[in-house]
Amino acid sequence: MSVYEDLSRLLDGELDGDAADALRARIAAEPELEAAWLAMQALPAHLMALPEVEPPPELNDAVLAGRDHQPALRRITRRWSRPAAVAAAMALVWLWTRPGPAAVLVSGSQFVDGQATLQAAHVEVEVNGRALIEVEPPEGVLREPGQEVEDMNRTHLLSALAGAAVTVTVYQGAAVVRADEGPPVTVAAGDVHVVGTPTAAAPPAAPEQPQRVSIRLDGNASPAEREAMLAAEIGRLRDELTRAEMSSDIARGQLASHEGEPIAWPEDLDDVYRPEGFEANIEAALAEVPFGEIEVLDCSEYPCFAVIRSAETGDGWQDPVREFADLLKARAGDNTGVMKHLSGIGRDGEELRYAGISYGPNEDGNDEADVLQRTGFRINSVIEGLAEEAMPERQTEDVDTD
Amino acid sequence: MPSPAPELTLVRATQGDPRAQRALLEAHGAMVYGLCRRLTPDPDDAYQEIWAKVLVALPRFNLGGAASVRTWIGTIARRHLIDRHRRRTVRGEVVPLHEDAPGADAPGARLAERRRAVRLEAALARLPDAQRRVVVLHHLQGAALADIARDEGASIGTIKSRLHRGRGRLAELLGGSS
Repeated sequence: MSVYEDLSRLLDGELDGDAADALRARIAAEPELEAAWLAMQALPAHLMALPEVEPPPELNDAVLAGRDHQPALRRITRRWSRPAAVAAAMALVWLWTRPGPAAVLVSGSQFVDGQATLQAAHVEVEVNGRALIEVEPPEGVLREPGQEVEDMNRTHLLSALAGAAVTVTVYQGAAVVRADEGPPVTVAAGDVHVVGTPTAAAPPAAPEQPQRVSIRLDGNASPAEREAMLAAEIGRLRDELTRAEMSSDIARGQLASHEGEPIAWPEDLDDVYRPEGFEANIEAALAEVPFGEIEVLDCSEYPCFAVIRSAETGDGWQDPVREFADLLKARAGDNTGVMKHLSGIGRDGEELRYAGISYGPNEDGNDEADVLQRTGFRINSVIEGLAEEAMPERQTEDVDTD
Repeated sequence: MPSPAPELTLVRATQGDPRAQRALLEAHGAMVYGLCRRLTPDPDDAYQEIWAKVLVALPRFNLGGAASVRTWIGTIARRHLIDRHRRRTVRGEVVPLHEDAPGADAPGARLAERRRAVRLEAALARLPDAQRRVVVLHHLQGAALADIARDEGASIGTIKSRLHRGRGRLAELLGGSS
């Protein structure tokens, strides 16, 4: 139990006298804890004050029309999940005088560390944390670093950049992205938000350890001084990115040995191994051997897997899981290999049992080993996540994997 | 806070009047959408699912009962979102829980309040799902912990524990950033 949880209990009057007195003494002595206590006291009111969120009008139309709403409204926001080289790019930053953000990024990329507001082409980006902002201007507009922009006024420049692609990658904290159209978008740490259509196929990825590159855009320096400072930062940025590229290559190799590599869906796969077939088969088998409830069904990669929480936690809970796996194999065909990962977690007498189940066509040698390694990692990650959610302080026991 | 649909409108909505049903959506849609945005990775889909349930059940709403229509819709939304979480199907890319900062564009909102809301939304998004559900349903929707426990199929002790963990984490995050 963390001291912060105790603050919550103190707020609700659930700590006994001695424990409450001891905690109050710590709050008085530790500034960090005092700040958290102040935040805790204000939390209920601040949560209640959070505004309601109006749905897009089209959604109400769709509800009333009884038709599915097309997901076109969903913005392009991706979660980066793999280390990749961070391409060093030239940054062309133009300093504006008031009003508006202190700097405009018209081409290239810029790291922001701290609190700053940047005009990235036609998009305003407010960063509180660490973020990489990339701008790819439209064809024919400011493609070359150093191109003269002094003769352009702000309105004309932003108009010319209206078709630019802007990519915001947040490594720490959050960023608020405001484009011309639509509501502001908050991008959380680990996420990438793209406005427009960049020509590069892959989103940028974070370096293994985000490098500290600081710019201060709100000081009292003159525009010329600030421009010089930014130019120096860009030089440092290039060096940092080169190092990040090298370290990410190393990290990629280390991760591949641990996690395995994502496996492409085979083209000639039978339907029973494809997402719809897998889901139908799992549900049908579970109807016959109802040993638990499906917690996760993941077909984001080949092969699909399901994590099922067992209703039974006592000795012998694995028996119906094995019966279930045999049934799956019988339904999918003789040439099917079934992978089971059985895991038990517990704390203070409370027990949870999870079965991760996957199956696919039997393959030869290395291919099968690759599938097993990757699928085992995926299943284990999901079960770890479920366990963390259910029992942050727990003991985990991998019962069986075959 | 939108005002509740007038009683006459509510009666017409229960009788299937499309204009009255639209008024109901406009009166309570933001409450439902706020829950969907904070508790699901696909709020648009969840929002439609909830309203489909509400509109189907609407003729059975007890106009003379103790619960307001807002409470009734909120209960349907809460139970649907909890049920939905029990059966998560992951296909393709996982989308983050928050794309927008709710209220960040609220007209007239003061900058400090807006920033506080953005920080709080960002901190909420970092909570594990189970903790965020309890915090949001209890503090934003006003659901009693006992009701959440019943809907979650968990003990009241477990729900309280999730609440304390969630609030503790929020205080840690917000206290450190203040």
